[in-house]
Amino acid sequence: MEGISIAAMDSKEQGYHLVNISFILLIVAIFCYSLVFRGNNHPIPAIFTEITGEIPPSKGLSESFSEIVRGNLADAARINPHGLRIFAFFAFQLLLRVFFSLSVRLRPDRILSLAIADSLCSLTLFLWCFAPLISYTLRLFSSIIG
Amino acid sequence: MEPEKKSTEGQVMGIIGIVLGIISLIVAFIPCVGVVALLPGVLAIVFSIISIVQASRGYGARGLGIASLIISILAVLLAAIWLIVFSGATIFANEALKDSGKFERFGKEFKEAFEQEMGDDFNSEAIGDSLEKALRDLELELDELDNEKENIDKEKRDAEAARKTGEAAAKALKKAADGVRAAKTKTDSIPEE
Repeated sequence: MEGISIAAMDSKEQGYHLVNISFILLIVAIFCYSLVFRGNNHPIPAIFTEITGEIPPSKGLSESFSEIVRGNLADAARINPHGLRIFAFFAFQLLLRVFFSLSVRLRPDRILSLAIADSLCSLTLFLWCFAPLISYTLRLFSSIIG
Repeated sequence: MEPEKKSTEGQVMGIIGIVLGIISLIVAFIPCVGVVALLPGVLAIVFSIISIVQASRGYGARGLGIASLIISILAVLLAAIWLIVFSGATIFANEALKDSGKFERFGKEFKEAFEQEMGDDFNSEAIGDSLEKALRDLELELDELDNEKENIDKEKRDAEAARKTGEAAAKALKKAADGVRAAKTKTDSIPEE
């Protein structure tokens, strides 16, 4: 009986680490994409602008990320004023994944409270960093639905 | 007292579901690529449901599956609205293309009425040439202004540039108007047959 409980706890810990590793790999992939592509040769097209003619707050985000990873923060801010903020989300998430994985490794008995703290931190960070995009999206949707 | 037994049934699917769900939720809030979140969102829903079913049958924890299901449903809803936005914009563009004949007819009627008002012997070519020349002159003057700007104080430079731009624009418009008058005079002087 005790063996099953320990196995269950280990698998929870394993599951948590797997989720963190997945996100770490994804964030590293985003940074590598930004390093590989630059300027106008990004493969992701600005579909929204092409179809509607409007310029959303996410236009030029890929280009902005490319400048940030190269250290050109002024150019990045000029291309997309929200680029730095959104990039900060991914950078902080990378640190948080490592931090919380280490915390769970050191204190596996507190995995639940650490997972809750992790979720709250990530949600707050997401809402703050993506605020311009979230508000634009919700305003657009409410104008369509309303 | 025996500790609570919880199996790991459904955990793998739950992990995949929550990772895909979070990714699709983030992507759904990016206007340029929001519609792309539809595919991972739908996959996340599928994996979440499988996770919940497996956990229910195998006495596993369903929390992860339920959380990933909620997140992925939200992401799919947002992506679906993006799809409606893009579909609506595409339909509008297609309708505009179908009605392009209306714009052509409108342009033709506008041109006919404009020429009639200007006069039966309206010389559009002469006016076009005169406007082109006036625009070229304006370009040259603006280039000269750019060169001059570097040698003047910033404040004086801006005021001076604004004044000179206004003068140059007025000169160009005056030349264009003179060109129109000259073209009209020329056509008026042609005797009627």
